[in-house]
Amino acid sequence: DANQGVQAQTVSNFYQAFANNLEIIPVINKIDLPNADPEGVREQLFTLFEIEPDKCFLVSAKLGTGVLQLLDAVVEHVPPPPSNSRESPLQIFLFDSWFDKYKGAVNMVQINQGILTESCQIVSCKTNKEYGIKDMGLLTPEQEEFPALYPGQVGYITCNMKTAKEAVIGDTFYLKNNPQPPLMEIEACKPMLFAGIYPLNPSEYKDLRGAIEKLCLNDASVSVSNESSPALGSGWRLGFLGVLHMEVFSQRLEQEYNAEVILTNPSVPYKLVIKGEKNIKELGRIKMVQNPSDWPENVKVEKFMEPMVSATIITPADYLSPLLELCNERRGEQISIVNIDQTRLSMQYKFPLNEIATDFFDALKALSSGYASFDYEDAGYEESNLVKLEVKLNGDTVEELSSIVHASKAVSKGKMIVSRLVEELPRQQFAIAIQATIGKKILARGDLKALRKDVTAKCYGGDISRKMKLLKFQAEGKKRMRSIGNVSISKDTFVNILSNKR
Amino acid sequence: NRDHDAATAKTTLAKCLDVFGENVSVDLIFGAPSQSISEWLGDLTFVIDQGVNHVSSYQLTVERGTKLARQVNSSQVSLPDSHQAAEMYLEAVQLLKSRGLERYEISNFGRIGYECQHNIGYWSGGQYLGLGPGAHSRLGVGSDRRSLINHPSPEIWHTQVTRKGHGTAKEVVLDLKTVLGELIVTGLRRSEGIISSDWDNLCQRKILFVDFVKYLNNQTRPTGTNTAGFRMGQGQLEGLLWSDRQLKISRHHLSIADHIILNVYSHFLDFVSQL
Repeated sequence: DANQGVQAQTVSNFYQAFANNLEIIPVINKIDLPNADPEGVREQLFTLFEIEPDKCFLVSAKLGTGVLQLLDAVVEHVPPPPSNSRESPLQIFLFDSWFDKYKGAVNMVQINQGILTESCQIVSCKTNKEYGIKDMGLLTPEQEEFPALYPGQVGYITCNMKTAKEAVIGDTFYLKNNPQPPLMEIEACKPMLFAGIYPLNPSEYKDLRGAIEKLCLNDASVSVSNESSPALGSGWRLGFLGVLHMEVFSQRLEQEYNAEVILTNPSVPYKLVIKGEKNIKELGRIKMVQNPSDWPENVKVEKFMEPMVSATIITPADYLSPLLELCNERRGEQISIVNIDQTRLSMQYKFPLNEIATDFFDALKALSSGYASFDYEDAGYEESNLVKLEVKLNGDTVEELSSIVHASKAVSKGKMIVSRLVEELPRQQFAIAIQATIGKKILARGDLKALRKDVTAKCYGGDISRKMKLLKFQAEGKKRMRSIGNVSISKDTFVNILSNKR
Repeated sequence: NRDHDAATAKTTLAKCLDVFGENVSVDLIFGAPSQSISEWLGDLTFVIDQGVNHVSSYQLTVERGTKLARQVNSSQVSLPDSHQAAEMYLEAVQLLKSRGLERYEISNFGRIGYECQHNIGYWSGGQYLGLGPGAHSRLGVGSDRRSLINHPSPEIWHTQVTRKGHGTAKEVVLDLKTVLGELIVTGLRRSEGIISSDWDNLCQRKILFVDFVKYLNNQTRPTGTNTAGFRMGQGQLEGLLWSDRQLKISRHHLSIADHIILNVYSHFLDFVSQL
């Protein structure tokens, strides 16, 4: 991007392509913009990736400048696809797919060997399902029908796949009765973070389920599993590839399906190493925990581990100081810091995933007036000091408000929850002691005084109808309350405390 | 926005006592702007000293759209906070009791034998007929219990009465849940609470009082009985007392009756849904 220059995503894409030995053609786009600085970007590309400045193509996709030369270069430099025999048994590689309302899954395939025609019956290596070809052809870039596709060619096929889940990216297809080995071992894409999603009104559960299913038809990378919370009712735990993925998904739910949802803070999957023969028999040697209610007692655990990411942050030097502070606050470990040009730096950091899984990106943008960029990758698991923070009301635990936190954050989170509860809980006939605890240790405490007086008005004749009306309304509200011991908590309170601030 | 002042009130009281003797009741509002506790108790004392046998007292309610509401919202006047209001109420109960006026309803105090029979009708499921503009009525019992509301506008009411012989604007047959709900809302404001015969008569024995009491028994642990033989509610029903004949809120909890009444009504709805 001639305007924005090298971003964190540029860096990570480059390294991925490089690692896979792909031919890289450097393109600087948007040279038509008034603030474009192609020379500066050439310099960055050289500093960061040792790309010769004269190898860069200057292009404006909007105006078409330089596009012809670029296409020629692609034809010249990008190696051709492997061309195997037409006589070999059919092997097709599925590398992309999107969902069409009428046609079902439209799949982008490359023919590895053999010839694909409309009369073929193909079978998936992954799902073993059988399909007939409905449409096929090339993208020119419009869909143009062709009766046959040959080895090396890339085209589209539709075969009456009703759901996106049937189209597994990386899958291999063969002709019925002539099975072929898969071209690639497929790993289901790993969700990087989770969020709980619940309908605001439990009566809309079915509608929301339908909306989520439809959205997932189009996006097979969202992982879905059922979950329920006594506070919020039945819902789901969704796994996303990243924060942006989650935000786009929930925005689409709201905008395209009019769904009113509650999103609870994403939780990351923790890895616990279990100790003790009996415990290992019961729980396994390694236990993955996403939900605080699955957290085993500490005595059973030898090691707590949390997922880490390695992150790239690119920022103008002006914002370095607040960003360093932010990274520090989020338990970041600085790996390297480098000047990429006169004004900007690139930093490599290691973060625990749960520190950057919620509002880190927003904070980064806010502190840098939008100029900083951020990208991250899975960096395995590391041992960590994790604890289960619980909330008690008059000694009874409120399961819905439990969470897993790093020991260093426990006190501040505990204090926050306690003060919110003091604010939000309705007063009752007795005092309520609110505590945030870890095991037996109390981290924060608040007290809600008992009600002293609530009757104010007289009650004769006409007052009675009014009172009944009010009472009926209040009784409706009470139905949405949950009892923890003797204490009633309204659903709104849970929602306010549990949901994402957006 | 009253059209009288303290002096007028005093002389009027004196005249009433003169004419009606022992059957005079005074309404006193607490929680007024800039009213202190000592001022309040002073007013109460004055009234009792005049020899009234009955006092009704409630907290000032600020109604939307009134001059007072505007003054409160613009901070021109300040009202006592909830703590002070609670103080005023509880002190009043004490003071009146010490002078022989027993609290027989949250807002009503009288010497023994001087309780207001008219109002007790409202609070025990009785029937009442409203006659003027905006007046409310409850006629009939059980499945025939009806609520009637008269036209609030004096002009329309007048015209209708002249033409049709009554001022009723709306008449609704009440369902049993509402009929008994009203008894719960009003009866639990009385010191003696709800009596089983009032309940059973009001609903024509369609939902028996003792059955509701049995349901409440299942909501509490077995050991909850006080020295007077009443079962005691716990948790949400803390402050509620009952026997096979009576359902009431304890003296100490009457000041938070609204909270307890809501809980009782919720339980009542659950109870009815199980029938």
